[in-house]
Amino acid sequence: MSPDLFNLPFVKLIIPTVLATLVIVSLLALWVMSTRRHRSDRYQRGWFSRIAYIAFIVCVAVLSITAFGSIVREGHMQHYALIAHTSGAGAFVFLLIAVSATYLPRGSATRDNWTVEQWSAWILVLVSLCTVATMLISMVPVLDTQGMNQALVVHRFAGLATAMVAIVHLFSLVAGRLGYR
Amino acid sequence: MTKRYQVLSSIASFSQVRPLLRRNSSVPLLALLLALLAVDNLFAQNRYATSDSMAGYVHWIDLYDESNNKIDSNENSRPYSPEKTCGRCHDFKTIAHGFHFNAALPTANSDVGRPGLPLIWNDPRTGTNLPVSFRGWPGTHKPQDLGLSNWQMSAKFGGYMPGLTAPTGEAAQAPTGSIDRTKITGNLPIDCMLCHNRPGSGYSPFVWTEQIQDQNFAYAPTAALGLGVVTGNMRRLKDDVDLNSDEVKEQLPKLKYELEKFRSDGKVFIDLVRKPANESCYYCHTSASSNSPQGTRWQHDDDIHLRAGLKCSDCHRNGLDHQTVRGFEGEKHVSGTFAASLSCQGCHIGDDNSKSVGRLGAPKPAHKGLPPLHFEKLSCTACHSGPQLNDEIGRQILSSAHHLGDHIKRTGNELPAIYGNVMLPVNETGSPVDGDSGKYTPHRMMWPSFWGVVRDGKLQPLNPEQAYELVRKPLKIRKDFVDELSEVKLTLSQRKQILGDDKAARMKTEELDEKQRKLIEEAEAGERKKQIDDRMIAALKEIETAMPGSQAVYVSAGQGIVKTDDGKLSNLPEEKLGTLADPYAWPSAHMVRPAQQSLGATGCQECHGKDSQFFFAKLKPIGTLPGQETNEITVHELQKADIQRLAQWSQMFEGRSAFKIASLIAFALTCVITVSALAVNLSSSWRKSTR
Repeated sequence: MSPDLFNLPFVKLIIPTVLATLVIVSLLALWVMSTRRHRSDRYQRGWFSRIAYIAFIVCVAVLSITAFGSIVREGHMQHYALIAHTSGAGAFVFLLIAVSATYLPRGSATRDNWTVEQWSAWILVLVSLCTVATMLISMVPVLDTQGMNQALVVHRFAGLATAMVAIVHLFSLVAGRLGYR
Repeated sequence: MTKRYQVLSSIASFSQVRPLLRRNSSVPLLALLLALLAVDNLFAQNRYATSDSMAGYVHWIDLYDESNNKIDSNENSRPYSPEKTCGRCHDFKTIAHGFHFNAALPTANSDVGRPGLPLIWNDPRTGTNLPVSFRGWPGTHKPQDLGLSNWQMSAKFGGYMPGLTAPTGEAAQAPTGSIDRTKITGNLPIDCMLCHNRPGSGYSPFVWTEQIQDQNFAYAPTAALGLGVVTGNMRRLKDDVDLNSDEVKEQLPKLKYELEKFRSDGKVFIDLVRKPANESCYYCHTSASSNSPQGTRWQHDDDIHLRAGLKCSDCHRNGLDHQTVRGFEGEKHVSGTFAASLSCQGCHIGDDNSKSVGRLGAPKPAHKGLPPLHFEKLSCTACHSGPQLNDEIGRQILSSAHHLGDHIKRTGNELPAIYGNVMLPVNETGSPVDGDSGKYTPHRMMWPSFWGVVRDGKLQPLNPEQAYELVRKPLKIRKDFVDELSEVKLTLSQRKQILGDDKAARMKTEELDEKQRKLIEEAEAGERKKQIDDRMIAALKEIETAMPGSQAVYVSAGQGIVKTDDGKLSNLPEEKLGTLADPYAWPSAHMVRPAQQSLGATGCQECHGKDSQFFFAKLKPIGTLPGQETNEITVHELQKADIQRLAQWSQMFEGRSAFKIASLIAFALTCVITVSALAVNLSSSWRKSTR
């Protein structure tokens, strides 16, 4: 079972991707702090949205640690990591409804929000849908072993992308909350 | 002058003519030697004529005895020798080093692959069931470690072996004190016809077994082939007999050939096949449920491969070298990767570069919806092979262990008790590991029972023959350890005392009323326990007297039974028992079920349920000692699985179907929300652009 996509070895990509994301976020933070543009008419979300989003981020964190931590350490997920991951995955599917409903940009209401926030929200929802879709299709007797392996590869890369984009989106929300954007 | 001699001569003369001994004489000498070896090897391979026709060769052949004399049915009463007869046309020396024959050769056991069926030294007189193997698989005992000679192994197990190639040199020396009657009986011959006979030709493997039991080693191939009738046996000859004396010659077995089997020119028709028929394999390799002697065989289906028309030898192949492919994953074979193509994966799945996938018409399984992690945790046989999972692990009977083929009344519960299938995790070498690692593979298993001693803190089994000599008198056993040890007969005075009635005391137990019968049975049970305890203590004491400084033990069903200082029986602590009392397990395959009957075909909860038989099936070891109490074991204890984690994992499968539906709905809803948000944004952008 090859965990590669386009011959890119997944295990070797995890740490560099995380580091690259953190570097990008750091650079963004520096840029944001040096070019502060506070908006008083920024779109404010309710408490339900915020709680759902926090739960969503916690879910992403749990799923990422259990998945990527296991892969880096043992090559694949098993035992309690697998139990935690599948438990978190269930919550992720349902929390995604709330996040997509409340954080996807909607015309004039969120028009003035930061561009990074808007684009990262779209990418977050789309890659999350891809991550969920690959697992849902694996749970029904549709794909054969080769298909399951390919779905797993896509799931891994989509999951990695979800985690990285979630970091960027969270940063953008924090930057807006702190008044930098 | 043969062509071989001409070529060799020319090479030799060439080196003489040319003054090659100039500066460095060793180089041309080495080249000469290599050339001679190469040529010799080339001609050795071509030494045997072959027909090379798919039609085969019709074997009207002369028979030869072990002295290479042609057998004349009228005058020569010596049995035919497969080595001298078949060996005239077939490279017997190469064949004799094949897997079925080479167990006693030290060089053959350097890489023995995964554990397999042991030879079970079963002695009903002493209650011994000891797994023995030349191969040295963990959990088995090597014959030389027990002080058993190759001859003893041949005499004990040769009835279910096609032959045994005798080692030479130091390896041929029998352990000190062992029984070795090779000078009387000869070595166990390799009988080609045991495998290569055509079913229905009249070859009887059971006759082979009978002759080996009579120690008529040399006569067995002839008798089994039906060429003649053998009367008498070597068994009655004493160890120190002089075979050259006239008196002894009269006592040797007599062979009378069937004259009608010989053609007018003295040749005999040997009805054989190149590829052994399944029936030939079955004689040594039958396994059946223990209730099949009660007539349940018709309820079991054949292996799916046999139904598809395959034969045993289609997968378990070999070339002239007779290194039969065993077919397990990761098998190292002299053919290199070819053997891998004959495993389950090799035929059905192959690898990315495999050109052999689909051979013999093997369908490629889709395994739709099965997470690939299962292929790392389960062998193919775990889901597809053997009896379906049950609440209780059943018992099985096997050819060599239970002497199937022998015409006796069988209940199926004869010892040794062999259980199967038990799912156990093993590593790449086939050694058991704990449940967190390894691949679950179905196994058969048995608990050994034997007499031994604890010396220097370590348990060692006794030589079974030595154990018999020590314990037979104190145990007062003639034939059967279990039956005779538990057989009690109350005296008349005892019955009078129990029943309080002289008339009733003289009646047969089955004629008494229920209350009286119960009294008698209780009394017999008490006497039985006392008898067993007294005789076992006496036997253990006898061993300790013969072996001062050691503690005698009888191992049975995972327990070590010892005598205490106050004259009672007790169990040896586990730390002293070590691993020798642990069950020996070996992977089982075959009896492959069709896909619709494979494990998990009805859903994930077959294995991932809270009471799944995969982890929670039970088995109760049968103690050889009558009245021995044993505890029921749940399979996960043998698997050393983390049962708490399993329970948590199983919980997640409850409501899984409902969760799938809810997740699909949630996914669809999210898609709708996403699309609607996209539509809103697009329309907003469009309106903005048109203003």
